[in-house]
Amino acid sequence: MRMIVAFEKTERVRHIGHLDMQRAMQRALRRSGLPVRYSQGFNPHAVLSFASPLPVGVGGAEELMDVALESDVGEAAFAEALTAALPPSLPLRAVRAVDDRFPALMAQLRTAEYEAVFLPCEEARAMARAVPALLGRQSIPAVRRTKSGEKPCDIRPMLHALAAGETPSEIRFTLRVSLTERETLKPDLLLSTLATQAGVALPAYRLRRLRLYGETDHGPKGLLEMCGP
Amino acid sequence: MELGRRVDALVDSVGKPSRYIGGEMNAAAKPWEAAAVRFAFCFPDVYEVGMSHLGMKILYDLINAREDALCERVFAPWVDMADLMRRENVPLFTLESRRAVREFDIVGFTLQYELSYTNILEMLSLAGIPLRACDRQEGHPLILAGGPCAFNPEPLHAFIDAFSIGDGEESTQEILDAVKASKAAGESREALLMRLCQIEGVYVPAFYDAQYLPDGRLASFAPNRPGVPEVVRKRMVRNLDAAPYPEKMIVPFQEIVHDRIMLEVMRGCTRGCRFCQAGMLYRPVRERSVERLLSLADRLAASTGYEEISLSSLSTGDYSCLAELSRRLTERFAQRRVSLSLPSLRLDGDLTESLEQAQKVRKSSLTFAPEAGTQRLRDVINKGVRDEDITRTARDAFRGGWSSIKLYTMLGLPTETMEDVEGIAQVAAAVAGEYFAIPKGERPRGLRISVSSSSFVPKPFTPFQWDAQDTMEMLTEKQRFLKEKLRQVKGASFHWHAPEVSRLEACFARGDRRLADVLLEAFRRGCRFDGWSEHFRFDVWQEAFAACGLDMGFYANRVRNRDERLPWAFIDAGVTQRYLWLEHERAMRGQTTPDCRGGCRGCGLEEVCRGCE
Repeated sequence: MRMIVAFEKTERVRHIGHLDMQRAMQRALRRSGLPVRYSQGFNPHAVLSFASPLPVGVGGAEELMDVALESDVGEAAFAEALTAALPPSLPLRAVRAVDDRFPALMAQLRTAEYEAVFLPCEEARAMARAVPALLGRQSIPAVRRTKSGEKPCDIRPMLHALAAGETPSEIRFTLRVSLTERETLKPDLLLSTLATQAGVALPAYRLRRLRLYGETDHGPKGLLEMCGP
Repeated sequence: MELGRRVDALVDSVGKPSRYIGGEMNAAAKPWEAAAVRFAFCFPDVYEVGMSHLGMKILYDLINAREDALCERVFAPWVDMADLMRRENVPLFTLESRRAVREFDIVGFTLQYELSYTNILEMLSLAGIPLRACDRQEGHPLILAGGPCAFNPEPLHAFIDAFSIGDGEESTQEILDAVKASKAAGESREALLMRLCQIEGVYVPAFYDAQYLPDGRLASFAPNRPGVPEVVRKRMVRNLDAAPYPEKMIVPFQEIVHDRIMLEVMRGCTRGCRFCQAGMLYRPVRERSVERLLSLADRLAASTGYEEISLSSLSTGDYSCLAELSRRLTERFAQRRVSLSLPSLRLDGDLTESLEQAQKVRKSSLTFAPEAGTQRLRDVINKGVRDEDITRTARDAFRGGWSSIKLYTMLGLPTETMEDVEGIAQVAAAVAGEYFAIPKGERPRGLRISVSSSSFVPKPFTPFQWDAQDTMEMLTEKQRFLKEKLRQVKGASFHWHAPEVSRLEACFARGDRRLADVLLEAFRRGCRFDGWSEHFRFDVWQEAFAACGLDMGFYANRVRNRDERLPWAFIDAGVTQRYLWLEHERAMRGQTTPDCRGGCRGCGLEEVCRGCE
């Protein structure tokens, strides 16, 4: 069987890169004493995959990983053992036992929801005001920077939701964007496009991933919920 | 906490932010208010270097195990972070609670390397603590320092309130008790220091005066008030099995230099290599039992999840139960996918079994340290390795599937001639010869012999503490010559250390109190991270020496007489000065001194050695 694990990458450790995160989880699984399935070969590793790597500097409220097990373990027992083995900076949020035939998380992932937090400033306010205009457009041409150079593209089909709100201490944007192998809209590209729309320079902000989504016949659904009730 | 948020804002804009974030598995999170004594453990280098240090792991664990104390970690912020902290007015902070270091009762530095001294000043400066001990007032933390370089504390005497000399397991407890009692009694700084200097192994430099002769040599050194010990005796833990050892260690997110479980199998070394300071400082040899090590390994593997265990000591090949320990560890951990690595392999031991054990893990390169190129010079330094040991081991290694061998050597050893230097190339050639003697189909491919030469630095409490370091010109010439000779050896490459770095290390290793001014001057002129070649600025150091009217040659290149009063002579390191001189004379005659496990040589620790049996 496999266990889908939801954990939080807290703000404090947002700078851990993906390789370091993989190693941290490998070691946490070793500490847990759980019957994790190991790869063959000279340097055996726990069979483990992440739904989507998080970039350095970005925290995650509900990150998902998929752990293969040698033998069946109940969700509660698994959660207890792994909770004890994780540092407080990477707390466990939920687990879902799934069948070996359950499709890979990465294959089911369609979109991701992020929040971008700005300190109160005129630029961010202007961006917040520009949200309806941006959402109202049929197409949003932008330039995507890739390894092979700059590519013009239309980001409108990859933008699924965008909203802004202000409190005395911050201006917060919540956005849901495509995150698949073929189509990915990076939050930074969306926010800089929004800043351009508002006619301001993009101020510094703190990005956090809130949730990963798959797609059902009835629309988007949390990837964790898709793994079981 | 306010400072925590400000620190958090900074780490977005520096390189390697994971150096500053903390939050690792097994990091302590003790409530501030509940601790009567708060200790900030400062490592004067970056996170990934400091986190590999075993002494810190031991003391961190030991302090945090006390109900009345807490210990948090501090590393030297890299220059980008340090500059940003200054600009943003963010004081030096601890990793655990991100509190200002100056709020702690004790700020303890570990002294592992002379070239990290400017980082101590940098850290004090970032912490907002006066650099000079005499400028500190009531309410400032106690600045403590320990570690191997504390055996010549004098160049740091102006900046450190108290030094802890020798093993820290017991003295740290006593220091914590003293600080706690003094704090509870509302005592003055001076009264606390008076308490501290009564603890064996603690040196309070303010309570001693040093005078110098017109030629720069030390004229006198003595306590300047009653009730202060004339001689400071190093502390040593008698029974290592009974000594505390961590059962959990912090597991960093980022890769560090030694990213594995470290099992200290023993402390001390009986070999008596005459250049080796650690070999003298950590005498006598004290071993941990196999049972205790197996139990520690179990707990550490469970608490860290590390995939590798390394056996750590000055000379692990000499651990009396190495074969049994390796076998039982391998048996016990094979199922748990934890491998065993054996560092510090020696050339003269029975290696076959160790090699086989190591082979089960992986075939990386093997490192040998013949130190010198000829038998004559190896006899002078008492490195009991013979040419045939080297060739035999190389042969075993090549037959066993290794193709990469590192040879560690030193240039500038006392009595060294160009013939000895050439000998290093001949050793490399002999190793290559062993490789090519194996038929092509049977030997591993891709021979690599990597010869690296450091420059000899005479250290206190060694038989060479009276000797001169080679001048930079001599060292450069020897390096050039050896490089030329090694060019003719197939498969060999050559790496060497900058002689300027070794010269500065030599100055501070045997420095006196006057070097405190040089250190401060160099720091004010911008020196920090001197151990990192991209930041080492020898010209600035030369200017700093000149500004203080001092000559590097006096410290580095001068031969001391037997009757000269050495700046560190007030410390009783166990091994007697008489024995060191005897060893010095034997060295000059080219006479070796056998390993003392085969019979006592009278180094000064006879009583303790006997007590151990």
